[in-house]
Amino acid sequence: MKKLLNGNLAVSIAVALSKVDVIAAYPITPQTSIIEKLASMCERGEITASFIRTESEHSSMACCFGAALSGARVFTTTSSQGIVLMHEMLHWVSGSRLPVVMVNVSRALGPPWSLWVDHTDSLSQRDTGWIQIYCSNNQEVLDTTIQAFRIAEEINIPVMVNMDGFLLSHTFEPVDVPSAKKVDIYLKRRRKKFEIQKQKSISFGGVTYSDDYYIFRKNLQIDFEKTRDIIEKCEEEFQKIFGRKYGMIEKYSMDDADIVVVTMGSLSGTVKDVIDRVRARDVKAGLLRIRVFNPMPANELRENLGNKKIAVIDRNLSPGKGGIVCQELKSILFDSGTSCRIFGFIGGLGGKDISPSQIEDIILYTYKKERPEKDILWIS
Amino acid sequence: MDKLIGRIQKYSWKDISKDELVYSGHLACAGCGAALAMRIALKALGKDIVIIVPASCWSVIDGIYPFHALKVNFIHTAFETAPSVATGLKRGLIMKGEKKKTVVSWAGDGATFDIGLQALSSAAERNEDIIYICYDNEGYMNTGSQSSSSTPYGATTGTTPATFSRENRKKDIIGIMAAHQIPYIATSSVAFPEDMTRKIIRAKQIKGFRFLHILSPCPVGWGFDSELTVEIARLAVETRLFPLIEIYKGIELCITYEPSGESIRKYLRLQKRFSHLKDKDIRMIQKTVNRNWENLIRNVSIWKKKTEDP
Amino acid sequence: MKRSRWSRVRKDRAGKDLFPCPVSSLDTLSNKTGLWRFLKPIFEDKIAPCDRACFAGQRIRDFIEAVSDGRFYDAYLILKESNPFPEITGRICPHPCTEECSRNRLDISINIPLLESHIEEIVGKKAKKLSIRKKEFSKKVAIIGSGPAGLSCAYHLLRNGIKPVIFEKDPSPGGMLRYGIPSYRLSKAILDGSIAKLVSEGVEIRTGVSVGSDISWEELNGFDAIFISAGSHKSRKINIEGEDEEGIFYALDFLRMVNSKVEFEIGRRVAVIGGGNSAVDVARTARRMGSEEVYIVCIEPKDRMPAIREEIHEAEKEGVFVNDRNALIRIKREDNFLKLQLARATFIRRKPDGGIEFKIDYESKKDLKVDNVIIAIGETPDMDFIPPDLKIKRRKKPSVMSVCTNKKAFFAGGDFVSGPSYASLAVSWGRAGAEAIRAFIEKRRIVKGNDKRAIVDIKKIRFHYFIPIPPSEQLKNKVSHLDILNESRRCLKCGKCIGCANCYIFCPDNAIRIYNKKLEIIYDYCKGCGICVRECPRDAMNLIEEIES
Repeated sequence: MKKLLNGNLAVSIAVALSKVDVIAAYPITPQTSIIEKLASMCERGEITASFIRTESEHSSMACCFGAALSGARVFTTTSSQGIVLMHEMLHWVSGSRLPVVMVNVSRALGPPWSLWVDHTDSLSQRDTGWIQIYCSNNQEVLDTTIQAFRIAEEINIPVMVNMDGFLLSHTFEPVDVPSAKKVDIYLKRRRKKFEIQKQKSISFGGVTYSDDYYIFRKNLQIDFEKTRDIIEKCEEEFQKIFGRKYGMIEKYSMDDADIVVVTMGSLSGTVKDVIDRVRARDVKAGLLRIRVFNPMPANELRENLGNKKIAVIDRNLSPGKGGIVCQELKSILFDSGTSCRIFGFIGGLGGKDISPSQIEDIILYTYKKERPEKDILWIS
Repeated sequence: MDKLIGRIQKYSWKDISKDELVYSGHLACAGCGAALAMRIALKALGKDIVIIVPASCWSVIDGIYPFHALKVNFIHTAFETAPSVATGLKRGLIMKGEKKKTVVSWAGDGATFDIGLQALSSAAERNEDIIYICYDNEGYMNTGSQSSSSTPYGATTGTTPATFSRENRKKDIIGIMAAHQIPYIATSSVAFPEDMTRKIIRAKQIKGFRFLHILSPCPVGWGFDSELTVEIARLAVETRLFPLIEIYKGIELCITYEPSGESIRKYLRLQKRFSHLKDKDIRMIQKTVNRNWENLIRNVSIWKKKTEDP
Repeated sequence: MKRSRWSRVRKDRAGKDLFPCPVSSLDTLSNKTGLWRFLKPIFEDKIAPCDRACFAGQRIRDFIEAVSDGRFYDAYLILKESNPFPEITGRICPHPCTEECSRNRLDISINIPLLESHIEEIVGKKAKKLSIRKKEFSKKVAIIGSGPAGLSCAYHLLRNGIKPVIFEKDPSPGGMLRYGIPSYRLSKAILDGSIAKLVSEGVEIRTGVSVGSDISWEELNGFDAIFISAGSHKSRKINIEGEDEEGIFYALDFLRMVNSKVEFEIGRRVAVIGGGNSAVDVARTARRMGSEEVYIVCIEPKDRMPAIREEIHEAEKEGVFVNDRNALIRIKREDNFLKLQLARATFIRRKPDGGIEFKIDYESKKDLKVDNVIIAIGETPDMDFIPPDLKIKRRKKPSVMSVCTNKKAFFAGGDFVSGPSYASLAVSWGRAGAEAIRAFIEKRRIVKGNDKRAIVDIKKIRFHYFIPIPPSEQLKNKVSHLDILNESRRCLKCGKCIGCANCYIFCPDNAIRIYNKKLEIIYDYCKGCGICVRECPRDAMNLIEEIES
């Protein structure tokens, strides 16, 4: 059934369809309407979930940790400062191998205060051991949220779904809302799950000696490497039931492209338009949108980006380092044996608009220059 | 013989369960008040519980992986999150149909008075159905004795050396919790196991947020012989420094043990952390203790009247 | 702590995979924390203050415990181990045990004399059955004097299979018990009963036989050993002017006359000179005989009089006046009364040998007119009758060493050695004598049998664990079974573990367990913190250095 939904509503509906048991959240712009909607659904009895109004995002994640220990399906959502406050518990949850799902509505970090989209908040949580998926439209937001529960429960690693604040969260688009029955089939309960109440006398997450710690961390990495297969498997099943598939990366007119624009999130829509426009002028440009940021789809990236000029548009900034996606790409493509060249553009911080003409300039710059003149190219 | 003990001794311990839910071989220091508190508390709490422990001495006492010193489930969590994790777990258990399982937060004074106060206040405000037990050793003892906001006036710690020992008084956590008007608040001491048992059993019968404050002296941090742990816990009560009370719904206050009112000097002089105090300091502390006690007594009458009125 | 491999732990006991997060499920029992210990707590049976104080060396704590358990017969036997006549000592002993009783710090001491004097009554018929199995003896011992020391020695010899024969110069046995103690304190019926029981068990008493005159020392050579317990019968004199006047008695003569039922009259006003027990006994006896005004004249201040405090108190209640801090200077006969000249005594100091030192303030003279004067300033042993080569040193404390004399096979004890003292101490002398004689006969070296147990430190008794229970008022009048039980149950059982479980409750390491209703320390896990020892209410534990093995 098609409905006109904004991103936040899409998330709320996806969470409701996924039949979560516990929701713990704290309001923050632009995420607030998700929890308002969920709270009202809980109150009206539309969903049977326990809603916890916490006093901070840190506690939200702690509540999720506790609830997940009982084997309950848990969900939280936040933005910007919230996710940064959660930082400690993000580590804790992933280290505990609990299938928590979080939607992060991307927003710039203060100071100064800014309410608009910027990926620095979630990208700075790169090392917390969460799977990160970036969505480009509201349909994908809804689908990915449902998928996230499946992925998390398959591999016992928490999943973070990111959507751009306001650009997606508050923008209405027609979205196909699947039936509850289909979602139930897709999200069958985990086979192997940890439930504290079924244990007799165990201690969870106690002190370890370095030998044991090393092994646990190593196992987390080994499982992370399996995640790519799991995500693909989940996507295939999703396609069978719902008829939609997204993949680890999204490609657009990549077949013969010499210049590839790499980006994440909602910006890809604009880039696609611009590519169509420049292709009319015989500039062979293509788009590669990274959907799953962590774990990085390294093989796909190497395959698709080899021997090409790459223009990375980063909607984030790691001060002192530059664009985070650019850094990641560089590290993946280094030593790949190809002659690709990477142009790192940074723009759109704090929700600053990136106009089609600016994107066109980026493509043309990449087209003209053999190598980037500077490490960081600012989109003024 | 039991009859005889009941006749001549104050306590016959007959209400205390003989079930041991703590294994020997845990990693507490000799004479640890916290280990003793856990042992007595667990006897009253029973087996059907889950304990949430934030960073504290008990994170270590429990044993190092793959060992576990308790016969109940035990969850380690980050320092400031014990009440939140307990909230989440309780909600999760309810959703999974495990409504009877008691969720207990077992936190030290640092996690209660300082870093976890925000989460504690929030869980208390929401009146989550959990038991929160703070075992109070008046400082950050796991890290080698530093001052927390539970450290009493005049005490020397790693961060309040004797030249400028702690100038602030101990935070009135009971007052804070009473202001939340939660169903049940109690203080207890390891020197009064029967009192503690009774209070924990009472707490188990009540629904909602229940707060217990257990004084558990630390021989290493406070600087006394390990054999004095119980003696000091007893003196703290007898000197009226740490009255044993119960507060129902934040308004109805009862004193559960009438202290003999021994001089505070006896309590202070046993501990190295107070050894630098001069007589005038001790007199001042005695005055404060007396004033606090008078206030408490006054509140007993006022609050009783309040509850009698309707 | 032993670490195990990840592979071992990843699967639970059923072989199922555990969750991939650190989940610890093995108990910590493999971690023997006992290795941390450098001090070791132990349960230790210590000597209770009452046991230590007892003149007769009785196991009072164990006795009270047996009574409180309702095992009256056992209790009786415990007393009988060291004391042949608890029913007598229970009545006349000054009871240092009650003074030392730890309960004094809590409320009032246990009424040990009450328990002691009534135990036989309660045991009843069974008590009479107490018999010494052996009826034929190969060894014989002569005992001179049938006072408490002699009787006690005889009793203990009998228990050890040695035949005692007592020579008593008076017509009836009992010595001081019969002639020195007024019958209001010890009825003759009880004394006769006790002696009769001893006789029935095999003690031979030859009365009216004075060794040295009726029977010569050579005749006693047939005995394997001789124990001299002839007592202290020679009255001491004050050595003042007028001491020989008519109407002046010595305490012992007076009591002897009273106790032998010789009829004589005592005047309306009587002065008793002296501050000891016999002075008080005499004063009270005189009061009972009809004297209207009885004065005790003594040098010591009232609170330092050697007499039992309760006895003084009772005497005063009966109407005896105590003129303390008064020295007698001279006695003068005037018409039909005696005029005593008294003066204030100052700088009173007791000398180490028991005598008294003081100064007389002659300016504060006053007179006291009385009909009779009884001098009760003590007695000394009469050493005239013993063989000339036998030398007896004066000793205060009874022990196997102090009963020995310079002559082989000759032993001495009781008041005869120590000077006037208590009957219960004489019991102890008798026992020490019997022990020494037994060792002598068995040709063993006489060595002091030391009780190596530690002594209860009253400072280590945790009074805050005990409830004050004052003795019931009924105790004063009529004594029932229940009163005895209740009184005995007030005992704190100093120095003995009664399984109160304080140590178990307060052990942070769960290293004390209750096994077969007894407490046991599990040294594998005990970290040696010492809380159990500190919290033991009755000092029945001890913390000792861990010896490295």
